[in-house]
Amino acid sequence: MQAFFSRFAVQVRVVRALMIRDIMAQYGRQNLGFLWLIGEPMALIVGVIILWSLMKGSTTHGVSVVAFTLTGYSMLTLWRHLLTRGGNGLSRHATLLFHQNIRLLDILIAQILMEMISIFLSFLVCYLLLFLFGYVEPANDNLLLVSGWLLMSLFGAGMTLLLSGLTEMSKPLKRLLQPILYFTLPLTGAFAMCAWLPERARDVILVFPMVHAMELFRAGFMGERFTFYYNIWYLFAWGIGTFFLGLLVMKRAERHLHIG
Amino acid sequence: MKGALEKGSGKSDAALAPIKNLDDSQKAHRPKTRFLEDEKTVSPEPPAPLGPAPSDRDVTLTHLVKVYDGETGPVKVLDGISFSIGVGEKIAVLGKNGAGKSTLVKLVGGVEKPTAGHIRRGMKMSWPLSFGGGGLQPQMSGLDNIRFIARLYGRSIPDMIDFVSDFSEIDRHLRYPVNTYSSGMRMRLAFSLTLAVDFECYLIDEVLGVGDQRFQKKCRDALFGERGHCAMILVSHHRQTVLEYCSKALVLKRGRGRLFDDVEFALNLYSTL
Repeated sequence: MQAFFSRFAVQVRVVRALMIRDIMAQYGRQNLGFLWLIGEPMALIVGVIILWSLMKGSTTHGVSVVAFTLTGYSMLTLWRHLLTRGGNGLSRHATLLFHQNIRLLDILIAQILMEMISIFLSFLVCYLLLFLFGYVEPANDNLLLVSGWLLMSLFGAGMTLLLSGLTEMSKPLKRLLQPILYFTLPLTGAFAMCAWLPERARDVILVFPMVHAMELFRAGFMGERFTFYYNIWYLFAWGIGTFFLGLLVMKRAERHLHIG
Repeated sequence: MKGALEKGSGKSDAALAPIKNLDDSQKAHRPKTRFLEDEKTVSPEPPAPLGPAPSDRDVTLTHLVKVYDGETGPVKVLDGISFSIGVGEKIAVLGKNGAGKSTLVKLVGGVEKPTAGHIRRGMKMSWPLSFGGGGLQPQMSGLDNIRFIARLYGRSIPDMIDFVSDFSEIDRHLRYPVNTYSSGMRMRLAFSLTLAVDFECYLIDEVLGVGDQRFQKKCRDALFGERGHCAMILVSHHRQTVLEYCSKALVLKRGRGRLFDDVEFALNLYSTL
């Protein structure tokens, strides 16, 4: 048991060091430095809010466009970033493995945590600003909101592991990943709420776990005035399943790892 | 009377001396054959096991095989390499280009997994010191690289910065990104970092012959002087270094390897390859 805790302490130390390294390597110390961590996703979210407000007016289907876009684009960005990280494959990080206490999983976990934290922070900052200026109402149910976020992160993390492994083993998949990623974007439910869809379309779209997370997140943000369709256990099962499958595939791919 | 006393004391000294020597040699963990005769005259008991007892504090490679999937089919780069290094042992890896040296370093360093076989790392092992200044993140400044290594290995950040800027003598450049460094500066930084972490086994890939003369000497002094107790895997073409410091040599040829205790013989064999 003691051995477990000391190893866990090492892992926490390693993941922390890797996270700081990730920030420093990406943003450095010039100009805003690591504030870009929040600034980059925020610029996207704010931009799309302005664009959609111009296109759709202040409400669409009775829902505030600002709230709709804020929730939709935060989740969409999380999804996109996690999958892109996965698509980078494993070999990019391979030189870090020269350090005996770093495992591939530590590197991926550090990256996943970075995305989770940075995008959630940019969501919070956007939300706070929009709230202060009176564009959105306070979130209805924080617990629902956060669970929607966490479950999306879990499923996305599973996909990161899975894709890192798969793209390492198959070159064609690596090439096709960007188009595939592009076509999953509507399937996150960012562009329409399930309540707006005809019943048959809704049944089809609810096969995808991302939609459940999105509905959960929006249910937490906008509250009971609207109808939301989600099943927490369905989403959780997908999340856990993908994560374990991702671990297995990653372990397998590790054996194929080949650097210059 | 006086003479007898002197004689007596001399005798006891003579009797004690070997025991003292034996103790010393035990402390140093280094069995020395020239004490063995003295030992016999002192005590009939079997000599205590000298040196490190067979323990898990070693690096052991067991029948290592590495196959890459090349475009024209699988390529066997390493074919059944086995050897073991104990505490403080220094082993040279000799071989022509393409014999599998770099692959061996990658496997021992843990970057790639062997196709078959097993590696046990019972010592705290360094990352390989190689030409690119291995282990550095080029976009980060030298200081941020030092901080990363300090965090990773749980060392104090200020101490590490002090040591590295002192040893590497590039303190004026530490604030700039590593990708602006010359290869010599990178090597200095990487080398100082490995020394600062204080490993038990160093993995050195061809790097001792790089840099200016003075820094080369400094590196040698640090590695073989202060850290003479550290084990080392030294990939080198430099005959003099290998002869001087290594006690064993592994000669690689087309993925197969053989370990020699006679380093000079190994070097001669290698030059005929």
